[in-house]
Amino acid sequence: MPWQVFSTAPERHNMLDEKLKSVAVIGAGGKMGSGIALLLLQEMARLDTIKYGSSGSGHYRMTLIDANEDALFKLKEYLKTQLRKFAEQGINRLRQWFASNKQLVSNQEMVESFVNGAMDMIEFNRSAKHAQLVFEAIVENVKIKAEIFKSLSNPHAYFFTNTSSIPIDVLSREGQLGNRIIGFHFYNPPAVQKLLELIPPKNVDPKLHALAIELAERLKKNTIVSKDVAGFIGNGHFMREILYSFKKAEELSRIYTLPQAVYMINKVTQEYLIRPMGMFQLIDYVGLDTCRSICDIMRAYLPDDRFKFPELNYRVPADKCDNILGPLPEGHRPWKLMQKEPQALDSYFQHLYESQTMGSQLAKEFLKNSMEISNGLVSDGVASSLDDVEIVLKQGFYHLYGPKYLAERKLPCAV
Amino acid sequence: MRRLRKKVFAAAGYNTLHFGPGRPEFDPAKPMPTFDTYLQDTAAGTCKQLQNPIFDEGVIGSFMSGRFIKQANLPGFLPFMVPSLAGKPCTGVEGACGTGGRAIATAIRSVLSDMSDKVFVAAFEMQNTLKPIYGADVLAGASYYQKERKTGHAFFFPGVFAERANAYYNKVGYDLVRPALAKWYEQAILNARKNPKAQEYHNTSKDLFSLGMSPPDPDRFIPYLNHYDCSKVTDGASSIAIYSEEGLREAGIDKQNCVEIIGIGEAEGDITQPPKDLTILSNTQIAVKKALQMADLAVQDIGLIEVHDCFTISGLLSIEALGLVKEGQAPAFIMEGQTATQGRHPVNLSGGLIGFGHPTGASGVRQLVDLWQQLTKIAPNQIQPRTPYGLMISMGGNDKTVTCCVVAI
Repeated sequence: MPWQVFSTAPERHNMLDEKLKSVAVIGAGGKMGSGIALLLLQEMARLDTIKYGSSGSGHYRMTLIDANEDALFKLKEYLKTQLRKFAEQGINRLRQWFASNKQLVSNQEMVESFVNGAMDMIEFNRSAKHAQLVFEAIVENVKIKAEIFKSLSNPHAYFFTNTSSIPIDVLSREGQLGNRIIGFHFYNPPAVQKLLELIPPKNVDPKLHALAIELAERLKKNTIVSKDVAGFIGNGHFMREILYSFKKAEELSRIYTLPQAVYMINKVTQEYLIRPMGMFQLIDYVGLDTCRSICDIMRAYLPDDRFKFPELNYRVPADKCDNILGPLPEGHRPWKLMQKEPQALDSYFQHLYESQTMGSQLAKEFLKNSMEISNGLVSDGVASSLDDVEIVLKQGFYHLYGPKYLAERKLPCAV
Repeated sequence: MRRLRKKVFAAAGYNTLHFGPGRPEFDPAKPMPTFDTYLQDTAAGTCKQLQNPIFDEGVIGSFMSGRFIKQANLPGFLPFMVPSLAGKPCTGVEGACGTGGRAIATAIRSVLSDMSDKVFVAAFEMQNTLKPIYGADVLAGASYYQKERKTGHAFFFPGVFAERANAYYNKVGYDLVRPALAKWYEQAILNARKNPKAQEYHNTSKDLFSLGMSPPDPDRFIPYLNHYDCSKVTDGASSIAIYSEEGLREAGIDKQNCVEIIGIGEAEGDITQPPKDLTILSNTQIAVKKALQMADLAVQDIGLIEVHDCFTISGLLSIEALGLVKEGQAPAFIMEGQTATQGRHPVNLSGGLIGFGHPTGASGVRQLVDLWQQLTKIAPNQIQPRTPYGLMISMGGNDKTVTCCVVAI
């Protein structure tokens, strides 16, 4: 090689650095998998550059696996484009990483080297037997995930699953992984979203646990720990709110039409609660089938019969009936504007609680329900505090406030 | 002390639109006008002003066309621009961002040597062909690249002048200097708003001074300076005609439509050596002194000034290099409004490099065009100059290649 190893600091053995030398991403062609692959590739390329002078030195290897070959083909282009953006936007730090490589002088040389080297790390394969770290981001199905884990029969690897709902313990048992798996749930899109739910199962290997915490830091994620209970924090709240929304819509449909009821619940949860989308719009966005399958998972693994996904035949948008809901409380701003003026929330809630319109009443009921869900998640030990629930709702679901905000202001829903 | 052995004049100046981020037409996703359109535009702009657009010689300046547009042998474009230059001597000139000044100086030499009476001078640069982080690599060629690029900032020249800014902050005090740099920015944009061809002509930002005071972002850009302290990435061209007295007559130009170049000062610094004092533009000082001596003027006699404000700090340091104030006094001078349009020493009425734009190789010629427009009373933002004298400083690299011209109407 034309250059030497570069660090002048004493050689420090870091387990994560070593483990990152061989990584596999299963489901790499999917939305989540491709984002996870990108994040890991960036980190591997960074390490390669710092330790060996440039990425693609041959010390780091990423295996990308997906049943859909078309998706893998498009993935290459996506990774190359995103790597280039990453390198260009972080050109200052890139120059520091390449500081000791005397062959690379200009921004262009460094960006090209980084991107091409990172792409050289990739192999497309069906096997991840060499991998030391395996990231799984495939369909939310216990059987399928378990089959994949078993088929890899890699007794040395640590597994990171992106499941949003399935207890990690279950995956460990069904996949015969022992204590070598941890929940590492990214939010969409992984490359942008700061939030990461970390779900360590009961007897997780402490080394894996420590590795996961360090990796989340390296990827600059905001880590919230969830107990290993189906749905974790994010879907734990989301799914319970969905069921509540269906319940309220059904109640209202006894007085009004179902389309009116759906409209009202959607509008209340969007406008009165000041969220980016109403609940029914959000269900459509996530996908009815996806919501149903999350619900089925939670029903399967929680000691609670409530998780039965209703068969409600509705459509969005439904019949507008703002006259029934009444005017919005004073101080209302749509979510986009309130984002820029969060200080206006206090006054809005004051007016909401003074208002007696149907819309305001429904909103108060939803807030109360949301608080109950949040308190339940804390008392069940799923979340360690209302703080954590609030962070998940704000960062994962783009809410502007959460249970901590409501509790601190002693709003009626929180008392 | 040298004097010019005969009179030299400049007339028929023209600037093309200075194009790039900030102009509403600019869209990096769409095809942009190519360099030959700028060359034709500027040549037509000059020649249209002449009854007799016949020239003896042509000079064309560009800093890095070889990299930005992969085009060399630029003299070959002069007969394309000005048909009367076919079969005539044509020369390409390069001196980094001071190319424009060197191109003017080359033309003056030809006239003084009696080799030519009528010289067409054009200069241009096309920088939007590359993303700014890659353009930064190209512009770094104005430094001692093989020794300096590696350890330099990603945004090389902004980084170089950021270090000068930091040195000046330490010398004079951050709280005195920072507002003056913001004021410089504000004045640049206010002036640009009066020049339809300026890159910042459409800038409608409300609180320019506050923008100028924005904190630096060393993670994404550079320390000590912000984006508003820096001239933008520009495509543009300028041209002007340089004449002897005989050439002026042959061209059919009245003396009231031209300016006389009464002083020129040129100074080159050793590019391999760093500046002795980061707070002083020492080569600029030498060039200015020589030009003023040749013109037999003091700097206070100058009514219009165009300085090379590739960065607000270089504009500020130029004020001290000019000898308008003592070292350390430029911030107060600027804050008092002395360099504003209505000030005693209006600087960069064009908007300067920050407001008008900085197509690196062209800026020196653009400065002369602007002085000529003001003194012959055809500027879009015409003022009544306090004196009939103008001065321009064209600087290349980190105060290495400097040309100062003094003109008179």
